[in-house]
Amino acid sequence: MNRYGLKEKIELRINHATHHIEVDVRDTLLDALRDQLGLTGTKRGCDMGECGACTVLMDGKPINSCMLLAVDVMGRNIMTIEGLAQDELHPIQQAFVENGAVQCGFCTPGMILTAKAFLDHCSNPTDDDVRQAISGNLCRCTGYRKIVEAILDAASRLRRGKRHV
Amino acid sequence: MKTFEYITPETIDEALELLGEGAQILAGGTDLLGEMKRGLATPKRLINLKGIQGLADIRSIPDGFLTIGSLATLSHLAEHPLVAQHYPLLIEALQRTASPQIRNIATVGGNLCQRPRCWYYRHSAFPCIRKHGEGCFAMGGQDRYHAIFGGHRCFIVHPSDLAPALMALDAEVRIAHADDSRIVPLTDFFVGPRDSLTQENILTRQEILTAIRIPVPPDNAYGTYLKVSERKATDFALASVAVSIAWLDTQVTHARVVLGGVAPVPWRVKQVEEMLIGDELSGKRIERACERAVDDATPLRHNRYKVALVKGLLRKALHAAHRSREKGEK
Amino acid sequence: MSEHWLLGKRVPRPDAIPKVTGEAVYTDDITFPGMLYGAVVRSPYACASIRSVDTSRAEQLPGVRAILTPTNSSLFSTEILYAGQKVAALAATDPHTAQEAASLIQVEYQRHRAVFDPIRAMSRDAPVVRPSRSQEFNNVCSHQRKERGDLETGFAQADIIVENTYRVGIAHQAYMEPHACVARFDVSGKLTVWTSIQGQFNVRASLASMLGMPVHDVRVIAPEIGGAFGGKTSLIMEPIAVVLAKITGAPVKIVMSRQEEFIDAHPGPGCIIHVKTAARQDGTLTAEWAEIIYDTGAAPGAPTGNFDRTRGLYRIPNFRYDIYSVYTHKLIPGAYRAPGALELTFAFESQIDHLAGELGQDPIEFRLKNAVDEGDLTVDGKVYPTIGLRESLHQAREQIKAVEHKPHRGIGVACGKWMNAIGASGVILTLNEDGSVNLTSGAVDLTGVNTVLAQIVAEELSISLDQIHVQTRDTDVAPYAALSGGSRTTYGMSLATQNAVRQLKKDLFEFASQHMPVSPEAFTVADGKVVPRDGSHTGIPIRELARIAMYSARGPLTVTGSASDPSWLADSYIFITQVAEVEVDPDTGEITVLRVSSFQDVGFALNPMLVEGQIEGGIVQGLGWGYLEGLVFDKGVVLNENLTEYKIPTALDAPELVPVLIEIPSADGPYGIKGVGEPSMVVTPAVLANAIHDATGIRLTETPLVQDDLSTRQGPLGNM
Repeated sequence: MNRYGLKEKIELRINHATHHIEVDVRDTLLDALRDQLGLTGTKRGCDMGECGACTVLMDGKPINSCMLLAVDVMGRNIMTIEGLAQDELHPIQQAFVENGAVQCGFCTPGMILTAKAFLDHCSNPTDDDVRQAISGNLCRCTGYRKIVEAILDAASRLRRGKRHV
Repeated sequence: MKTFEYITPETIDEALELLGEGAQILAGGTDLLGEMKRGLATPKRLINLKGIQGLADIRSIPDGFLTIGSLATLSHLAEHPLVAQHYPLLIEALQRTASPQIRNIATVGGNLCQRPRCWYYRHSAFPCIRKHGEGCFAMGGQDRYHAIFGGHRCFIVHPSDLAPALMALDAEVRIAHADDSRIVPLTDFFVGPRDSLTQENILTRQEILTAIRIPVPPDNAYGTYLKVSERKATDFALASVAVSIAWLDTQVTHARVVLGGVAPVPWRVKQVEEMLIGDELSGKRIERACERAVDDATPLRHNRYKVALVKGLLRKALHAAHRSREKGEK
Repeated sequence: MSEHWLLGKRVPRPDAIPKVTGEAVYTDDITFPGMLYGAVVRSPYACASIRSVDTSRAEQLPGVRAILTPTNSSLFSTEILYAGQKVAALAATDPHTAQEAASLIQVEYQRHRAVFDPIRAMSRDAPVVRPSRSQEFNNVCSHQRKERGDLETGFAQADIIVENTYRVGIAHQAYMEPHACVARFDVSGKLTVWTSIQGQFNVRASLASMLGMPVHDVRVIAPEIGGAFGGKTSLIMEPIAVVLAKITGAPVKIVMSRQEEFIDAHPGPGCIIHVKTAARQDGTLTAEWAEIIYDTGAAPGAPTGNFDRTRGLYRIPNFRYDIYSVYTHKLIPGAYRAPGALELTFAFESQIDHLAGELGQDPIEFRLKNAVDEGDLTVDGKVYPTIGLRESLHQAREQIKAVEHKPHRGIGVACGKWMNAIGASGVILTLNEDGSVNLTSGAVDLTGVNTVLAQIVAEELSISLDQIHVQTRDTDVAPYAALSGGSRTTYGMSLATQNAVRQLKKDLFEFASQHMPVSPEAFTVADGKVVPRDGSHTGIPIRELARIAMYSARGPLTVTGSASDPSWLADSYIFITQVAEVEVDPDTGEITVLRVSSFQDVGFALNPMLVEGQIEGGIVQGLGWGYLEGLVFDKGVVLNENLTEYKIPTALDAPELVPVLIEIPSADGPYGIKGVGEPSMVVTPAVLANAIHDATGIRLTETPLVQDDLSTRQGPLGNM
């Protein structure tokens, strides 16, 4: 059993690296990522789990980082948008750029991570599958059409990539 | 947000010992954190149950029940093979709950224990009776999302999609207490405003909801969960209906009808269940069932539409049940 | 268009790359050592006087550095005119402390009688929000009248008159990035403000005037902006951040919460439209009368000045329109994507549909019969040039013919109009020593304008796109640019860029003639070279000329380009027809929007992918305002102050979108373009209402077009 007071030193596993940071027990994972670790690619759109802009992957699943306390995610594997591209853009990122799926860009990191988790499990989705998967990521600019097209395009890029390996 | 002590017990007994004045249970946190951010919940101590071994497990046990640990996430439940096999109705309810991201954090126990979504209750400017304040602002106010059944000095609706579905499956809950544990039918778990104006279930400050048990449905059972919301995703029900029906030949032998989003608790309509049992599901009978379901509705100024919604949803659900039986015959 | 090699191509936005990697920097991503966080205390009451503000408990909280109240700061008033109005503010060392301190400030209010409904506010016994401009009514903020012909004659000529009252709810832009700003003074006293804003020069002017400082002592930097849609045009938190920074000597950041966005930003206005429209049996419109009442909340803000910009689609010989804006004790509205157009289009295009139905005429034929043409007059009496209204109706008609009719489904059609602005626009073009080009702009890039400016430069110089680097720079560096709004940005900035790049070509040709035996007028550019048109010389690469010029008496090749229009609006008439297909559930009345097709005259699409993106996004915003969105009030307090209860469309709510681009070149736009940022959302609520009517026979006249009515009024629709 562990007890934590106002300020605590915690260990977080983010993008395959281990970080030791001091957090306020009230800090959410989102606060810790942005304010302590400078990982500002994760966006704060509502801070209430309603918009999906703060989506990160926890053990491979998309979650709202604003609705989890930082002290509550110790021992979990977190992936943020900064951890997605390796030497070059990930095929999902490439597809977003080329299909015009990015306008203001504020929903984009969360949208891409949701798409990543989704395509990890579903390699040949339909339009409706994609819409179900991203239904927790609000976008106000695009009307979603080009985002859905980008994710479908990314799926086919990933399928092609797999075949070559 | 006010600061708090954060504790991670490793056993239920430890957790029970930590309970007391000012202590609150943290499960998924998707509701509690929202309440804390709004200043509605101000726990001095937060007891995180995630460290308790086995509390998130989903198991089928020899006595025929499916046991769901209260800390199982909604997505874990929705993806479980036993659920797909026996309780497709639950999957329908879970797919309409919140967002994929929330479903990956929110727990089954937390979903059953969530606080009301009433916008007066959630709003800092309205000191309503559920916050130990002075009355119900929905009465005579903006009441289109409020209750048409079971309201009394307070007209909240129970927001859960899962609860009506579980209730239609005759689920029970297991409640742990330092002295003993008890098992309670889900039907008796929820508490309406006639019994309490400040809590929505029977849990005392010394208790923790640890598991939900669902019996294997009867043979030839059909279940469905239908929901109307303004948005097609991430929205609470304006009205919903969970139906579970079983037949012997053409005769209905078992019926459960539970409504969501229309009453302070998941609203079981026993009078409809009774009239369905022992007869065929004819079109005429369905129409009468729909009328019967809203017999005791008492709509407020702007939510009369919910009466029509309940009828429409129940009609759809019963027709779907009827069609499924006919299909099964072939 | 075949004469261009790069314009008209689907070029991806270069700024998408840092946005997909998370590297793009938005205002809230900026931090400084020692930075303080601001928080604001707001009134829960709509109409009150402040008796006292007790800050003693907040002052005792460790980490609180400064508190502003009506007693010590002119930023705050003791008179409260809407719920959510700022009462006090503070700065503290971290966000938790700032929030906690705000909750410790005790304010004592004396509450007064308030008025929330604009019609009620006009009555002589209504509480006075602000002094009325009218002798006749209370709380009138503005009134204007548009008229032509003789109304009585017009109505007397009619065989049928349709009269309805439409109500449009207050809708929030709901950009995904909440307002954010950081203010910092340096030792010399110069102020720098980072802010999420559509126009950085507006902020500079306002802050300089507020502080009594020359504009060059105020530097405004607009980082990436997470959506705006008209909602980020004026100062909101900047003055507070600036004053807190000044008092504390530390940088101060203020980020609005989503809740604050809903209660104290500037959403699209509520509006009530009472309208009577008349026609002859043969379908000729004879007269129209309307009284339009905008709810402008606690201060002027409702967009009442855009009537001519958005109406005047049909020949109506006799009309009178009275447009009022009226004060109420509610938050102050502002611009939302084509301000003023959506609400008017909803009312007037519902009327047209209603009238066509009463006359038993096809809604498209009815519109075609009355549609304005080249030479007809606008509402304000200007003469229309060549316009695309008929073309868009014709294309819509073809689309409708292809739709299969099914039970419980409906098809709706409606038309709209908009005009884009131009606005002060300047750019600097610099030819680098390697032949690449820098374009410096002061315009905030909302829609991909920097991408098309690069296309223009590359097109004009015939060099590859990757050689053009367009950057939005801050007010210390960039030439002046009006705010990015009014569908002006691509139009105005393209004009300026066209001017600049043509000047650069001229300079290049002059310099080239010193190195080739050819007069400057005889040159052209091809494949990155300056070459004589007659082929008398193989030419010199631009990069070579750039390098030589830099080290010759000529010096670097740098030019500026400007554009503006004293009348603000361009001579650019954008017409649009939309077709919506909806399904209404026969049991529950649930609305499913299946498809929206949009036939919009875009003049010329410099980059069709970006143009489609604007149209698609606009349609879904229009749908949101049409059937999901609207602030809900109780006693002036916004109840749905979050993104759960204020319901913007999700991916599952967005229908299939079919953006069809019609290209009728504008007379004075660069390359014939017309503004595309705003018009697409104008028509959508109207077309949705018309489709619902087609499916159910029920005409909804109030947004959001909630299904309450459909489920209760219809009962089972099984027989339809």
